[in-house]
Formats: sequence, C-alpha cells, structure tokens
Amino acid sequence: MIQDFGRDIAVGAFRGYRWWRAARGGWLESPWYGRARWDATENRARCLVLQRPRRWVRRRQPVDHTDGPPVLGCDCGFYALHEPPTEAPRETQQIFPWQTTPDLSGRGPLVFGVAEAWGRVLLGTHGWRAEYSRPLALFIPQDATLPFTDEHAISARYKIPVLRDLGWLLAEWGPDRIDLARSA
Amino acid sequence: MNIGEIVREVEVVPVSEPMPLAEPVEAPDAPVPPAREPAHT
Repeated sequence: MIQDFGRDIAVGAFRGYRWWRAARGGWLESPWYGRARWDATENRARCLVLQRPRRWVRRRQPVDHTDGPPVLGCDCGFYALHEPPTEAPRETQQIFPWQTTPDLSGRGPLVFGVAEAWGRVLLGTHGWRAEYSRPLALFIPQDATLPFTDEHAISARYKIPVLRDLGWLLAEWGPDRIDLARSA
Repeated sequence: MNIGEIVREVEVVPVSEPMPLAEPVEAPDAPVPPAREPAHT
C-alpha cells in the first residue's frame, strides 16, 4: 500500500550529495541509469523503469507519469543524499556504487558533488527524489585523472565551482539539515 | 540510490517563481480621493 502524505509547499530548493559521470566535452551525465546528459540550469526527470510483478525493468523509451515524476510507487526522479557517503566496504560499494567514498571522485569517470532540487520532491530519511535538478558544485581533487574530460571543461560548460577540497564542498555547498517531519 | 523511507512530499517552488495561491487575491480598491469643489471663477 502506498502512503498518501499530502503535499507541502516550500520555497527555494533542496540540496543533496550525488555522483555524475564526467563525459567528453565536459558534460555531466546520470551515472547509473539512462546516461541522461545534464543541462546546466534545469533538468526534468523522466521515468526509465517499468514495474513488473516481481522486478523492475528498464524501459526502452523514457515516459512521463501523469502525476510526476517522481512517483511514490515508482523509482523515478533525480536522486541525492542528505549526507555524503561514508567509507563503505568494497563489497558494499560494488553492489551500491553510490556509497563510494567521495575521496574517489575523479579517480575515474565519476565525480562527486552537490545538486539542488525543486518541483515535486519526495523526501526520504537518507535523501530525496526530485522532479527538477541541476548541479551546483563539484569536488575533484588536484591529482584526479578524469578519463574523458577535465575539470576546466566541466566548469566552463556548467558555470559551477570545481573544488579541490572536500571539506570546502561540504562546508560551503552542503545541504542544510532538512526537517523531515511533515508540517501541520 | 537508496534514500531510505519516504516521509514527506513537497512541492518546491523556486525563488524566482511566484508562490501558487489557493485563491486569487485581488488588490484592494484604491482609495477614492475626495471630490474637489470647483474653483470659483
């Protein structure tokens, strides 16, 4: 049974931590499903999963829900976490790659950073799923070796800061603590 | 990505957009200035 929360209204945007894939030309892409290329100012989620009785199956073409995205009974939407991932065991990172420690940002095609969300947003205890999102800032260490592009191309395309220090990213761009309790 | 248990649904309006209102609100009528007496000629 899917719980109906009603819908609160808020002004502004939520922030959260997430990963992107840094592609050729300085583009940022969704890393796990769909390889959607992100725009600098506004990206609207589309549903890529099809619910079968026993498992989720990727759709051939993205679709739009009539009420969303994101939809409570689905997995669609842009994702981000309230807290940066902590160092997880290697086995955990292989199964849940988004749990990879941010220290590994830029050691391959994946880069870690902060996104903001607006539109319809589902707040979870560990993160959010959102209708609209855009990248705000990235963490790429000085000695990173991105295979397909570099931080200058990303920064020029998205007009966002690329920070060399993870502490700076967390302090300056990290999300405020979100009130998860529903307002009256 | 595991975001845990969903606990709230929020419609987030960007700062640059006007807040949606439940009902349209009309601006109050402007006060009518008192009629001036015609100047004596």
